[in-house]
Amino acid sequence: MAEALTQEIVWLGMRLTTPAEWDIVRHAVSPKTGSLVMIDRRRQRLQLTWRTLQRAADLGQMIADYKSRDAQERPNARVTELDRVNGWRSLRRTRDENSITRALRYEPSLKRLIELVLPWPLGVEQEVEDLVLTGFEVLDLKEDSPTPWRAFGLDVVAPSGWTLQRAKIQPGQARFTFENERRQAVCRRLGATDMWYDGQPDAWLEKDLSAAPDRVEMLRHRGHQACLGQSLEPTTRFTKIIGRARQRRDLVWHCPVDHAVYQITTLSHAKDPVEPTEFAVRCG
Amino acid sequence: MTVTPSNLGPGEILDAVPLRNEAARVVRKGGKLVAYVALRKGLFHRRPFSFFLPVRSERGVEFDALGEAVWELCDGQTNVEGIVERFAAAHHVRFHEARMSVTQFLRDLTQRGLIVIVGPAEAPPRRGGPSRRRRRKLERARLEAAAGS
Repeated sequence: MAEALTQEIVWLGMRLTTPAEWDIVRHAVSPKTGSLVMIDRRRQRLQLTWRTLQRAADLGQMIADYKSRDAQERPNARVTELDRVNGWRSLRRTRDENSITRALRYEPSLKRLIELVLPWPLGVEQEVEDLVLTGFEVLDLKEDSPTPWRAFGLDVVAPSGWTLQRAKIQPGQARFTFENERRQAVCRRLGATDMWYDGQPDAWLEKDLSAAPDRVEMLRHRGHQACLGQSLEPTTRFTKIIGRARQRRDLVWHCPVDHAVYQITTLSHAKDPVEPTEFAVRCG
Repeated sequence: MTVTPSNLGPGEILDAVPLRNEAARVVRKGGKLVAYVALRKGLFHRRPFSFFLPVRSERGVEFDALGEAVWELCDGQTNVEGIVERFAAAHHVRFHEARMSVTQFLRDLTQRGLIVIVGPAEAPPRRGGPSRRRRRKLERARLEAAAGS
């Protein structure tokens, strides 16, 4: 099977298309302000920055400011404004082989000023620049619609009201933690399964919990054998006695196509249970 | 130039070559590979203490399957990029995921004295050059030298 040449990143309602070999090394989860930084094997390739602004920014003025600042700070560099592509206002600063492209846009639906910076230390790769600029899109999400997240090999659609609190990447696994008031959900992808997974999702769950779950149910999920476990979250005896311990539900399955084990864990009170199946984690 | 992985930038580490410690003793125990490296001899390794105290003269590191695969690839020829590529292909993970696992493992092996990382012959200067404190010190020394002459 040929490897895909491009990948799609979906983050905070923005969809970004990049070469497949780029990967995120820094990320923010706040919709107010933050950035995503992507690298290839050797250097930084992209920085996407966003900031919430209640009123539309004057992009023309910002471009003019960038131009004048560059002219002052780097008099030997050539600064050119580029044609508008897919709603981006952009300019490129070039000095010898070294170039940098800055692209700006304001998204009224998100009330966000978005800036894309593409450094080209070895010369401009026009195809890549076009791919990134034309592939950018803002998703049309209503307030009560589910939110998609796609990065680090995880493709999750979270129900409405759930916000991503943390995205943690560790060797061999990626983990998104969502919260909705006192309820929590964690979606995990564990890779390199050929080396450690024995083919039994219930056995893996027991190992992960360090104890057998109170209730285990075997089922099919996304065409794979899966295991749904229910137990109490590990907490103090006092919390259990006063009935404040939350119920933990785990859905685990192995996707042989991705060579990965997926796990969705929810923590919620019995009165207001959250089923792991409320989160759509795509595989294969 | 021998370096530790934390000294190198993300691009530089890929060109570095891990070399095994030739003094390490590698044996297979119960199906798992164990590498022993000699401990630095301290006071308790000498007599009469060593006669009475059960002091270890070497420390063993047991590899899991993933660790063994990376250890086998530390052949003194393959650079880190090559190891990461092979690891990624063998375990069906992305290059960046494999890089995270492999570099962390190599860092552990370096700290345990099982390998050394040999950087590229012409390693570029560290990003940012000397620290601000060092730059100030150099500048002061230069000014003092100029004033003295």
